[in-house]
Amino acid sequence: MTANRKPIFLLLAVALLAGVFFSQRALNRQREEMKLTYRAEMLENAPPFLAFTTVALGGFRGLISSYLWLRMNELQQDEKYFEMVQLADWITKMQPRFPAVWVHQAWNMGYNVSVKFPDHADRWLWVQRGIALLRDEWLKYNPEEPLIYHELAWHFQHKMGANLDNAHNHYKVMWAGEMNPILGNRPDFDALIKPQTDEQKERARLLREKYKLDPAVMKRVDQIYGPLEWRLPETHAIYWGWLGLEKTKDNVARRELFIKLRRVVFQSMQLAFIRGRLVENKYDRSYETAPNLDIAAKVNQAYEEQLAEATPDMKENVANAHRNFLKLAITQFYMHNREKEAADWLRYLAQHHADFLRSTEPSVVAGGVNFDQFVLMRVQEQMGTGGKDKTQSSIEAMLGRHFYELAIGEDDRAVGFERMARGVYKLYQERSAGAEKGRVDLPPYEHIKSVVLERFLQRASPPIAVRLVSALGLPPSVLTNLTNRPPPVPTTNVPPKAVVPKK
Amino acid sequence: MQQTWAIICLTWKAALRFRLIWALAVLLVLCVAGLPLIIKDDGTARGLTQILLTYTLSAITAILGLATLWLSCGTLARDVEECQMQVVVTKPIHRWQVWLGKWLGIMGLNAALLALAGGTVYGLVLVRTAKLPLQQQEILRHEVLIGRASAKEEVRDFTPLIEQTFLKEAPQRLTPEQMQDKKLVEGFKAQIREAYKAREQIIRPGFMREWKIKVPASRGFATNHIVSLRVKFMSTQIASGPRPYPTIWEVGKPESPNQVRGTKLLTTDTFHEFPIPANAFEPDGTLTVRMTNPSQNSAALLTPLEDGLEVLYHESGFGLNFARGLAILFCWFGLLTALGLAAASFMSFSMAAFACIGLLIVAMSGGILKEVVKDRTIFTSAHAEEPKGESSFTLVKQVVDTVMISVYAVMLQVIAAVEDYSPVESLSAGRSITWGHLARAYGLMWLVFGGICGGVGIITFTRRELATAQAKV
Repeated sequence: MTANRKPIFLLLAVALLAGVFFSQRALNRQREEMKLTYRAEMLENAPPFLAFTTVALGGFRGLISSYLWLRMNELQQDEKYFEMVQLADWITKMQPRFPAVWVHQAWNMGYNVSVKFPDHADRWLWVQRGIALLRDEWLKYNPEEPLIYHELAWHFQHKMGANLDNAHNHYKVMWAGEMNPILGNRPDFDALIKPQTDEQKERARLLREKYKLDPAVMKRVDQIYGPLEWRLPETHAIYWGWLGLEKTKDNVARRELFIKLRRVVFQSMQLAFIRGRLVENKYDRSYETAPNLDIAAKVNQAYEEQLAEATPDMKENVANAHRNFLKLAITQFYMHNREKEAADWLRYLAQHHADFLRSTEPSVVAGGVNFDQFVLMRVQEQMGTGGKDKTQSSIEAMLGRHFYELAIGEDDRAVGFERMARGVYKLYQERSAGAEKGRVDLPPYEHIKSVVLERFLQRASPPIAVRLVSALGLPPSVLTNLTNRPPPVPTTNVPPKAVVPKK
Repeated sequence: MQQTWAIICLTWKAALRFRLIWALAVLLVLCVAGLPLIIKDDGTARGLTQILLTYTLSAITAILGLATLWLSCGTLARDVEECQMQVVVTKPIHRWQVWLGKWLGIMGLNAALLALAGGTVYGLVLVRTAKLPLQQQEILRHEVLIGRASAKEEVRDFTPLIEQTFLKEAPQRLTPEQMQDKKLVEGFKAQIREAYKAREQIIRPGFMREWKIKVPASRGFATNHIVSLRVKFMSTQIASGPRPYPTIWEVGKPESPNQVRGTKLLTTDTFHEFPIPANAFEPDGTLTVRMTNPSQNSAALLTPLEDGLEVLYHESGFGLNFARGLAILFCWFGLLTALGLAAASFMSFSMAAFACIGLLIVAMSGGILKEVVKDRTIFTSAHAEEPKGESSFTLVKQVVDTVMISVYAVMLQVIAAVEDYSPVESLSAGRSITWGHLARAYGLMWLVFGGICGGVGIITFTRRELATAQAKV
């Protein structure tokens, strides 16, 4: 370089620096406005590796994460899943503040990858991976992001709780199997909050460290919405939804997501009402679900809250869902031989949705309530549209009623209920004939009937049980065998109490 | 030979003097031993072993590959720049002997380091899998820690049929002008091809498809020889994701007493593997497989001609397969060494290193090149709408595209040829790297590409005026 060029370059450098000085501020402002960059604020509880990737890598972070995304897509297309967990871990650490990345990765593992495996145990592994990514990683760094709580709740409510995946029963059994040793049939929250013995301490540790569940929060959720069955996935959906609302209430920038969290809570409450009771099937060591009628008042309260907060355009939808719930509750109470509560809820329906009832059920408003007719109409509705859970619950209730009527000598009514149960079963099986086996089809009718009989005999008073055994022509040893068995597994369906609907 | 040996020794001495070999050895062992502690697997023994093999072997390839390139550029270019080469070439030695000596010296170092790192990985895999439950070990022995060869049904050549159908159908459906349109004719033939493919691929409910696959090696199979089927099918029913379908499988000749039959619930769009008995093969090595789509299934099933069904059988043990995998890595390093030495034969160290690493980055961007060649343009944009009308920019685009697509297409061929021999994927999938595969890899990478690099390097180095390098210092 010759000496006479140096001053020219020097001047050029000064001019460029001056240009940068004047334009930098405007550029930085535009970057903020266009959300082209995140501010370099540190994440909460970030380990050194995460701090390194977010700060030290600077602009290279985008390049590296793009490469990892490409590799992940390529591997997924080639159906090579063994790197997925590692790649998802790296990608989320490269983009730790971008919730959509975490949601996508968890969704991908839980929903897209899991269904590629025909073996239910393999699927369960991937569903767990999806949940673990959100629960164990994201919440550690960004506890104020409502979207993640919603996704977590949704994985429990929809992936594990709903019946869209034909391995859903396996997920429920596996989850119940994991929760059972820690929580038992009914959790002793106080023992878990302040454990005294080594065994209690170990259970509390597992709950906190492995499942990230706080017993104090569980107790609070149970008080608000329960008694809940903590071995079922929808209860955990309620837990994460409620916790999300609590933890993120100050995150006003993400306020629009609060409604999603509330929705997941009340939808899960509805599910818990329909099948929120876990019954252990001792014959094949599996679990079955049954309605949890005792939370009716709390489900109703959740609907009322949702109705109060709904925007004008959503109000009618929520009101419609509320009416459907009330009709379901009345039917279920009636069919479970709790006519007083059914009558209370029918009065409540008449008070709060009078206009609706006047047009659809004039006889109810006029006071001439015919429960049989009302229930039959609901059954007819369900036969046309009801899902597996609602239908099985109805069939069980009808069979329960059938045994009761038989025991008290009302043979005609007993035959009627049995015929109705069989008819509902047949219609549902015909309706779901084209669906995948094991996903939405019901267990054999005789199996349902024997389970209901067993349950009825365990709970019935001795004279009723004796009369029923005699009416069915069963040997008296049936009762002896029952009494020789261990006491029935307590469930969240505590002895019936009078439910006082909110006036 | 004595002269070449002297250069080999000098290269080793230099590597030892600069403690390069020790540094690399420690780095490799730390990397291989440390990686399993930080990587996250999918929770299965199979996944753990696969990720262990993939990541450790990839790390070895990356570290040794870069070190090889750096060293091969440095050892020759630095010797020239620091005037040591000028002294060496005054001795009774040919320039090609210097070049070859350097190549052999670096390859000797690579062999030692690769043996150390490969041995560590092998030991690590054996130790970790030995701790697994017996059932998991059995799965690994059948699916990952094994060298499995593969056989598929020969894909039928539809060309004569397509031509015949085209000649029959085209005059009725296309006008004489349309018959002259090359693109249209190709499209028409493609449709005929798909129709013929569909006849073989699609299994309607209540129907069956039969495969006959030749595996000559099956004559030597013992009754407990590991053989499995790898299958994949799609459904014609629209679904939001993979769905399970019951399928009926018959393996072996129908009239044979060794035929086995079974029902399997398999998911669509996914590869499935299941074992079959080794005695299902006929004496001439043919395996008959039948898949029935039961009539209760509401949808037709489609088994792709290319990868719908594959027979996998034990060809070698994991140890031998692993050794052959390392031999392919060694082959890659040989090519990299030749490339680095060729660049250093006429460039300074910094320029040679820059050029080689640039080439390496291009080679690793095969996916992007493939996209460009497929799109027929390098101006791929997220904006769907193109500016309308002719402009000078459009003309420039056309010229650039014409040149670059041709260059990329050639580069892609070379990259694909080298990448085809990647041993990492085969080892983690339990696929065998056969002796034939190994021989082809050496033939292509050492004799063809290595030969070109070596030839260019030796000729340039022989003709180079070494004293000019001094003037640049």
